[in-house]
Amino acid sequence: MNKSFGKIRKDPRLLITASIITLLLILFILYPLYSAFKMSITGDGGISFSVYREVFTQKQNIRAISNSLVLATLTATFSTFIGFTFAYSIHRAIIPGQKYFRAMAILPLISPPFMFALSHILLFGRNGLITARLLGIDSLGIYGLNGLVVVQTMGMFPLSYLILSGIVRAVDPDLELSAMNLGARRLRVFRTITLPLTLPGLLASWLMVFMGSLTDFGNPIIIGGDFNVLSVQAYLEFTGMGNLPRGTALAILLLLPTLFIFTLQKQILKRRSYVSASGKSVRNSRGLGTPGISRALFIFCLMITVFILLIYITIIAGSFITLWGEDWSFTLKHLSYSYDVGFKTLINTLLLALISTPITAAMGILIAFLATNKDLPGRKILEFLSLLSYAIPGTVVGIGYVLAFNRSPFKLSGTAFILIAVYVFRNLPITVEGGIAALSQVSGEIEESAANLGGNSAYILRRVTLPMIRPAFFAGATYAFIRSMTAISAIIFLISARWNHMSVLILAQTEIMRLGVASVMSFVLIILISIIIFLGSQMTKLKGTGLPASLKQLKAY
Amino acid sequence: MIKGLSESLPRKTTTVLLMVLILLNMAFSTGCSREKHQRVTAYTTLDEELARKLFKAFTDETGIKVDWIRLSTGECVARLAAERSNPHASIWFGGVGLGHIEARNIGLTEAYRSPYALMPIRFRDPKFYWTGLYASPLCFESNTEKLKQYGLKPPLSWKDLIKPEYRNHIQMANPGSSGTSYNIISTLIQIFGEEEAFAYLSLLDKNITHYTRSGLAPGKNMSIGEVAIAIGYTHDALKLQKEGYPIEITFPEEGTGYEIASISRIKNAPEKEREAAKLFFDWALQESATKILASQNVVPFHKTLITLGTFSINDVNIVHQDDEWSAANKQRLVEKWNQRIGFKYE
Amino acid sequence: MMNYMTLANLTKKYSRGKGDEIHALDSFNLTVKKGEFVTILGPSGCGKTTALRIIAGFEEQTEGDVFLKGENINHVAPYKRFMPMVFQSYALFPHMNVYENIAYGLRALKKSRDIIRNDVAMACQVVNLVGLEKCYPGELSGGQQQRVALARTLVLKPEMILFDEPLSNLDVKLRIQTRTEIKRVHRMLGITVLYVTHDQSEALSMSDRIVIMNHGRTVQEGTPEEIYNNPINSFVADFIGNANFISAEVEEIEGKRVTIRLQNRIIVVKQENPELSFSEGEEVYLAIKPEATGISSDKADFTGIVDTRSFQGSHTEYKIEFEGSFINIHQSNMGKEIQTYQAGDIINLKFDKDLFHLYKK
Repeated sequence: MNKSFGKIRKDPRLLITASIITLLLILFILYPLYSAFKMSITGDGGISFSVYREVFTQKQNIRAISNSLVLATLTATFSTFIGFTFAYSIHRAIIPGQKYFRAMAILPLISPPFMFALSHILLFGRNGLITARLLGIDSLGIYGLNGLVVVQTMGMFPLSYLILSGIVRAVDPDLELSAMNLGARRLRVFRTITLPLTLPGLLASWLMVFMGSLTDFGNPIIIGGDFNVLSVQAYLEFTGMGNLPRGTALAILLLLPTLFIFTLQKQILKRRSYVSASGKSVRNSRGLGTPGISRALFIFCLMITVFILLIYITIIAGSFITLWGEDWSFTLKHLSYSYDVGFKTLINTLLLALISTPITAAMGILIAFLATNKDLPGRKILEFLSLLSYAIPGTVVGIGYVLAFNRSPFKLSGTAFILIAVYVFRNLPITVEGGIAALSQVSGEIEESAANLGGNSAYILRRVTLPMIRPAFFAGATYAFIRSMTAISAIIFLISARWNHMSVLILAQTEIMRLGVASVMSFVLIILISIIIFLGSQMTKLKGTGLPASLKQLKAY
Repeated sequence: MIKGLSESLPRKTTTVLLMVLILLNMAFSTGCSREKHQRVTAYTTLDEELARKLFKAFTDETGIKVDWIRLSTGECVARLAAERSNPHASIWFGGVGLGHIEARNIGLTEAYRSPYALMPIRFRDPKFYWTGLYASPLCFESNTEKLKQYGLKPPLSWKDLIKPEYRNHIQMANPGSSGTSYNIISTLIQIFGEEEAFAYLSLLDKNITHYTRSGLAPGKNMSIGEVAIAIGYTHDALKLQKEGYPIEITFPEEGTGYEIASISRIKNAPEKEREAAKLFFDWALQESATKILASQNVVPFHKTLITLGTFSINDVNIVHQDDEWSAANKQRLVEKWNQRIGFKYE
Repeated sequence: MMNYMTLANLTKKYSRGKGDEIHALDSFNLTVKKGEFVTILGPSGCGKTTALRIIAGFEEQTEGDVFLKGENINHVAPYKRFMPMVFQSYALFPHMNVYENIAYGLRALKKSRDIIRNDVAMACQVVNLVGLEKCYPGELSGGQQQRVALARTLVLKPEMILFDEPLSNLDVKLRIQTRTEIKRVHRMLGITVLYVTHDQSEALSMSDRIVIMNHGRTVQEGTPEEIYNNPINSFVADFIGNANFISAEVEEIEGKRVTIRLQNRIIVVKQENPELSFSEGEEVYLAIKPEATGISSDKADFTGIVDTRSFQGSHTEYKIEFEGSFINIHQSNMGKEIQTYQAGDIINLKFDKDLFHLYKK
């Protein structure tokens, strides 16, 4: 301890930087959380848990809790199933079109969070193209659990795919072949080899999607119908009815499972040690596949792909159709209306995302530097703090920020700054994790050998360390950018007349069934995100930092 | 290492940093001295399209820019309450009068006697905390095609609505977030008395598809056929009708309630917007604003040319409405609604 | 001895898109007799592993047939072939302990618990794994992992075992030890073995018969001695004996006697390779193994210049510049007075003239 302090004393700048960052983390992550807690137990002054007692005696809240859990369980299960099938088909099976399937499995990630709900109404609503026009069914079913499961699964299976593709690929195909070679039939091989080896990934995927579904706000508010979930209930209480203590208490109920899952998830991923314990085999082997199995996998992937494509085509079509369900003529009026209403918001959304992205990435890398610096006391606390915000549901963050930054000494609400702060601190965990992973690859030996060859520390940093963490930096930046552009659950509490956000605007349009306008806005947002990512990867000249590569790096998320 | 970091920043990184600074400057430079009196921030509960027309006309006439977002009545009151110590907006424009009374009751708004507030006293606050813009009665809106499809007739009374043949064909908003919906509840209490009204609401619940967040949503959903019947304000229904949707408007024979869409000034609003806010307030009660309102099928209190086919509250059977009582009892009644009707299972 | 397994005209093409094809196997033929230890030897990418994987049923051939005991097994599923394989990576199941790994095949065959326990214990005894049954593969050394992989196949009491470069992940000492182990097991149990490697010393030390493969085809086939002593062409000579190649010109041909002139000396080589014929004046390679070349302290017929010298313990390796090429010479370090040479020294060379081979250039 003395020794490490001695080293620290030599470079006080390190300690100062670490202190400043820690203070920022406390201010923007812990303090809002504290404010929320305080509100939920001291709503009417004086500490009491009466709000919670109230929450648990009200039928609709109990229902919201159980609904949230049911929805999350179903979505997590389906997403993991589809994600696994995709990962297996793309990385293991020998089927045509794998490149396209991969693109389709990633596309939903750059879409506004509730776009699937929107196109779901267009396709399967009571006046939907497929249900009402083609099949002539009077469907009310999309509002509620069924619709929500479909919509969330479509939006979240890419997450499962990203988590599982890494793990599926890490399982040596020779293991399956070897099992078969020892006389085990395919089903037995799958049960005794493939499943146990991918189990940590399946669990991680399940938990992450469970968390995502639990905290999702955009989809339930649009097509939840009577199926009330906790995040929406918290929002309605807090924002709709102005019952701040109860809204906050409901949001905090969301926090408990997410914190639990977050820790569990980290434990599971830490233990996935036995993947590729032995040698390497990258042979492109058919593995377990028979032509029949390959065909089944292909058809499955194709069906999902067609469904996703249909959703996107619907959004594009919806942008130019006068009145969905009634008047199918071509129009540009949604476009011009969107321009009138949304252009300023679009620019502001982009502006704030562009400002916060490099800040997020730089700060993430800086924290990663500090957290991997063995001489720094309390570095684990720093890491934990920066990763914590991943476990906090957007609803809690939004409410916490409203409560914390609306009065002296932090009068920030209504400013651009509060939105930037939300983006930066909510997206920080990804860049920190990426940075730590990259820095741990830059082994001490490389730095030592560079030093041995006569480089001073600045030179080593510039020539050796920075280039090696560059990919992590840009991957983090890409992800932070996408998340800023498609944020909703936290920022819906924080937008102001001056600083609105496209997602909130689209949500409002969808809610009052101005679906054409909502389609235009979603479509434009996706295009814009794609262009910026493309330009970014061109400018940084980093091959393979395009979207898929960036997302691959973040597969742990 | 930190020193190393700063020394070793390549030129490209410096460029990126510079760009961030420029963008930051852009983000924070608004509202600086040059535009000091040229901006006003408003929350509006009017339909987004109508609000946009009005604000645009105001900016065109006065050169004062308006930053605005649309919030439902409930959302607006909640937001004003949350921002109480640091309000961002100066004006609340539109929205059910009940909400304005509620806001006044908890001290969120500020009295302002506009020289143009010339309407009868029942359409404004006695002390000018809120000022009415127009009144619009609640009505039943039916999608005629959907009615035909299901072999239904448009409902003509509140009693009709709870008939079993309308099961899963009616939509209204959540009274917690929507002023429109709370208006429905208070109307029913006026007609039936509180207990009976809640018994009625429990029966009605069986026919409701779901309760939306915004009071405008049921009408919109009805127009595109997501649901057959909606309960909402007449002017919104008329607007949809004129857009070409197959809509029939009916009024309950027991009598119906109405909204007094109002405007209020927000207490402790940003000082620099003070004059502009007053200017807007006055403007909203005058000819150019009321003309636009009238074009949206409402009957403004300021005399203006009224669009053909518009329903004034004098044309229909109106219940005696006590907004003061309704506002005072809102928290309690919404809570009761939540408890009684609750949230249905799927 | 009957033919246990036959490969007939086995061809495997991989397409690399746009009609570009690689022939991993090109009409490859092979027969393995019962109880025989056959090694396929070749450089990486020669198609040997592909052949093995087709035999095991992991991949499907483009053309040709695989016969097992006279029966065509082209379309038999891998799990019905009963030709257990030892993988290069061992492919041990990382989530199972040693016992479960070895028992895996027996369980798949639905053997009774008692039989499994008994057989696994036997197998552990045979490959010296007793006491490690509860360990997981991650806790074992490379050699131990290797033995688990072997035990896992032996426990099935197969008639034939396939080996896919099983020793390449072991260090030199362990490799030699395991080599004898495998050979011992082969002799003890009389199992037919098809063994794939790129290491000539493995092939030479273990095999009954060696098949040398290159570009998806058989280059030469024979006992280790035949192949070592009479490589059919320069590829085999280089691959199996690390031969030195010296450029020369044919001066005269007289029946099987080919006369070559080297540093103004006449060398006569007995040309017995039926597949080669030379003409007078032709540029050829004169091949000779390092151990058939020596440094003479006396005056000899040939001289060369020392380029580098490296001490190897039992012998010293010299790289000598000779007639425009470099040749390697092993000088034994046995004996009392060994003269050492430094780079740049001119030394006298002697060749064991009977061991010269001639190859096309």
